[in-house]
Amino acid sequence: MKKQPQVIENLPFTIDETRVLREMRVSRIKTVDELEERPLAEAMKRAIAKAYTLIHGKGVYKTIELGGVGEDGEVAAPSAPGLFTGKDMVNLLGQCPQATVLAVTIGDGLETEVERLDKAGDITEAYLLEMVGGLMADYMADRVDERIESSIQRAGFDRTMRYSPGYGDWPLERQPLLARIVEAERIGITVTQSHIMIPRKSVSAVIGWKRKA
Amino acid sequence: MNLLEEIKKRIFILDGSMGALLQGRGLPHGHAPDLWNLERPDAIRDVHRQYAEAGADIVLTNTFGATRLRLGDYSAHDRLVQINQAAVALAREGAPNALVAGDVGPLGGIMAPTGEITFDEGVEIFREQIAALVQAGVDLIVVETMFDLMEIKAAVVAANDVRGNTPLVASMTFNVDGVTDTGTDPVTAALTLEGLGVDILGINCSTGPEPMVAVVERIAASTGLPICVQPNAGLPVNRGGVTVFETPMEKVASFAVPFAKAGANIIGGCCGTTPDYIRMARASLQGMAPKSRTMAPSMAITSRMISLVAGDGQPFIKIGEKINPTGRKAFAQSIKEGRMDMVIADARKQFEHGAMALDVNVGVPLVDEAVMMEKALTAVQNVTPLPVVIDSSYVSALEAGLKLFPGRALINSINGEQERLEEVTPLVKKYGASVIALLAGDDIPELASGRLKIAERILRYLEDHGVPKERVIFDCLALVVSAMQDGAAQTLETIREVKRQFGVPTMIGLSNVSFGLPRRGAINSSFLAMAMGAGLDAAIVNPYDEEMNRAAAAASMFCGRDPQCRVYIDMMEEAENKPKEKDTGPKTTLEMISAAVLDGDKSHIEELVNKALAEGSDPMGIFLDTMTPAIRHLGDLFAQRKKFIPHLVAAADTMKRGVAVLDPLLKQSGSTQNKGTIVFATVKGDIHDIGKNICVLMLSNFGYKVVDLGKNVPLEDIFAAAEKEGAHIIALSALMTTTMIQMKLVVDEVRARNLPYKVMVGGAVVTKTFADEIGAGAYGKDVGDVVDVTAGLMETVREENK
Repeated sequence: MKKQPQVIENLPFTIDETRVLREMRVSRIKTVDELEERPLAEAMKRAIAKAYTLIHGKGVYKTIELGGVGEDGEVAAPSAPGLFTGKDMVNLLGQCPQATVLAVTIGDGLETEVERLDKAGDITEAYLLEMVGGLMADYMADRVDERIESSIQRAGFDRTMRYSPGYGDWPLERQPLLARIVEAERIGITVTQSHIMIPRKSVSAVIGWKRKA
Repeated sequence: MNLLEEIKKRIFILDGSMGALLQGRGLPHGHAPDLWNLERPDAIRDVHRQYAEAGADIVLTNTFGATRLRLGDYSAHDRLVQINQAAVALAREGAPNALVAGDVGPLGGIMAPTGEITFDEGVEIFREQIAALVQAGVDLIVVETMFDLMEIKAAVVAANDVRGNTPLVASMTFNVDGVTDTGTDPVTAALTLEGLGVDILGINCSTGPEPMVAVVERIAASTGLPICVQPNAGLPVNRGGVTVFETPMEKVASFAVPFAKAGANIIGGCCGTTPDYIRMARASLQGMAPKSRTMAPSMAITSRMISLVAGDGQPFIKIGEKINPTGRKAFAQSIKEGRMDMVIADARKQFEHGAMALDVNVGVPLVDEAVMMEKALTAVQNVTPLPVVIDSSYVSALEAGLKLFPGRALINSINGEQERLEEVTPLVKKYGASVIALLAGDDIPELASGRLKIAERILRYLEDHGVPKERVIFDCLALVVSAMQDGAAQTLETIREVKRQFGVPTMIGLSNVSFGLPRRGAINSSFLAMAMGAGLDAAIVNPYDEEMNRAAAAASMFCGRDPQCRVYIDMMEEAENKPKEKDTGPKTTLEMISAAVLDGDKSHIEELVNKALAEGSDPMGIFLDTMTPAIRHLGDLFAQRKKFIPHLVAAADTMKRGVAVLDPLLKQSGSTQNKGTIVFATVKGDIHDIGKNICVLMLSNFGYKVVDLGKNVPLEDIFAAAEKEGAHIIALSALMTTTMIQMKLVVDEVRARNLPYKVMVGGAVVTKTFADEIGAGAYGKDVGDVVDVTAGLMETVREENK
């Protein structure tokens, strides 16, 4: 098993208009051009074009051994003690011999620009760009997820769902430890005292390697 | 024996899986099989013997993971040469009558630009192993199970460096979607690897045999190179720490004949296959000869995901010219500063306008062009899937680009000058690139005959230096029509003759022809159509020129480049579907203000409000009777799910700008209204407040006095501001489960000190249940209901104060 985390310096991407619209909870239409309001449609197109120049997707992941559920009722992970706490982790990882932890980010370019626009009072532009950023952080997580899924399958296992700190009873307080284990600083992610990742448009998570039924 | 000749005559059988048989001999879980070359040579020898007995003509050495990085995981990298050499010896001993293939697997890391391993490092890691295998005397090399085109390119470059005449198989792994895990389709892989000079193309692992037949067929249809296929026994299953393959060997072997019919010359097995499988495959292929395939190599360019072939009957290739600092000051400046935003913007825009490949030129005086080329090609690959044309007068920049681009790039350019040929030809060869050859020397020959002489000389030079003509496209040189009116005829003649005499595709740089003349689109599109009529295969163009795009599409139908006119029809349908401006008829200024708010047209609102004022409208009237009803109407449409949050945000933003014009006038006349005071804050620990800012904007538009305290605001600051402002409502936003608790502290404090404020809460993670639990006065679901929720809460305040 690899001791070093795998680092992805460049995650190529496309920004899908339909997904942008859904992220903004605009339903029914599939392309920005279908919006009746031309000025708003143009603003969205500008936001998407700008996002391309501001997003730099990176990811890091690492697979660690698990030791099943211990006497304390928690999932044991010899190289990451205290990380996988709570019932949800027992359900997710209790039967998994190993798990892959991951972190992705779109970098800080987009959020710096959102801040700038917000300060300048360009709230529409700030909002639209912010929404694209949120969507694209998940997009990057999906791309790394696919890589991990592929290695899980080739090794003869099934994957679990992807689970992040803050879901269910896996507390956000695990964020700093998770970031440390996956070496998230390799892609420029740090964690604040209130457990927020910086850049904000980042995702951290775990995927379990499940034995096939 | 000359393997490359022999495999045209009979199908060769390669062996099956090593791993499965070693597990059966007690290889512990997590132990590197390669180490057994030294630790358990008997076991390795025995596996080879079994495969040879089963009928394998070729056995693969047990060296799949015997590279520096992977051995490093077992602290065995210092024994790399020993392990590889032992492996070759064991294969010879176990299978003395078989050919021994040196097996090379993936690096065990991710190559740049995706990952951290540079091309040079990758090449060095592969070279170390392959050199050891070649020195130990392997009969061929098999680079296999590759997912990443960049990585296999590094492996092939390394192999070419050290292999001499030893044949090379380069084998990639495709998933159930028929592409590699990094998105490369079989045709793109084949054309790229053919360019790199591999002898045999391979497909191995990982879906099981069935989907692989179609992959073999696709490769067979795109190249004349022999094909090697090694199916695995389907996806594995891990049972009690042991990887097992549950597909029966009979089933895997039943695909040997379909593989041969599809064009395979070598058939073996990958993960999970056994000597039984080899025996069955061998038996089923008895007497079968490989399919005869005679396809000539193509002049192709590829990226990781796209391949383009230049030639008659192929789609006309439009190469975007915009990533180029010539005559573009702002672009040149961005490169000088090392910024890639303009490169990215042009890459995207050209892609969206139908460019099929992108010329990348970052030649700005005094910049390190090699570094900039790396940056630009990384940026371009991040945002478009297109093949690239690496355009530089510096060989260092060309090489830097070739090392960073996984596909078969097109080099721009060589010409008849000896020095340039000498510099660039080795790069074309080493990196498997294609190349543009300008039909010029020290100057441009005026007549076609002069250009053809140069073409002949270039082809001869390239051939002498191991670069076949299929790697070349000739730039026949389109000249400025206003300066040289006879030039066009010579260019067209050159295009025709190059194709007739040499069978080499042609291109031009189009935009140049119209230099200095008005309505350049008309000139460019006319000349393009004429040149296509003469046989032109590609052009470097301005993809934003719609006239040119239409001409290229139309001319393609006349030149046999658009069967059934499909591309043309699709293009026109797409243009038809573009939105048309609503025809709204004449409107009064106030109606236009209302429409501007509804449409979020913030760039016109100030002008419209000023116009209304000039026409004598009352400021309070514009605010109350025009803008407020508009935004209320939008609020109703939002509630009916006909309009959405972006509409609300854009409308509020627009209204704010209108109100800013009115504000001084309203203040002057003393007619401002205050529906109540709200102190608004994003709680301590939360550093993000765009949602709150939108709420503040909405509420301000509706006539509330909103004091915005910003983000990450401590409790005491909130109370101090509330007291100072005489607030009616404290509104709080939180985004995290960990910061939400701050809301409870505020509610508790208000209650404990019996303060006169209502507390309103909202934000990403905040729910109605949470709001009720902590006893908040109101809960705002999203920016859509904040106005109504506030109005309701203000009503309560008023009731209580009566």
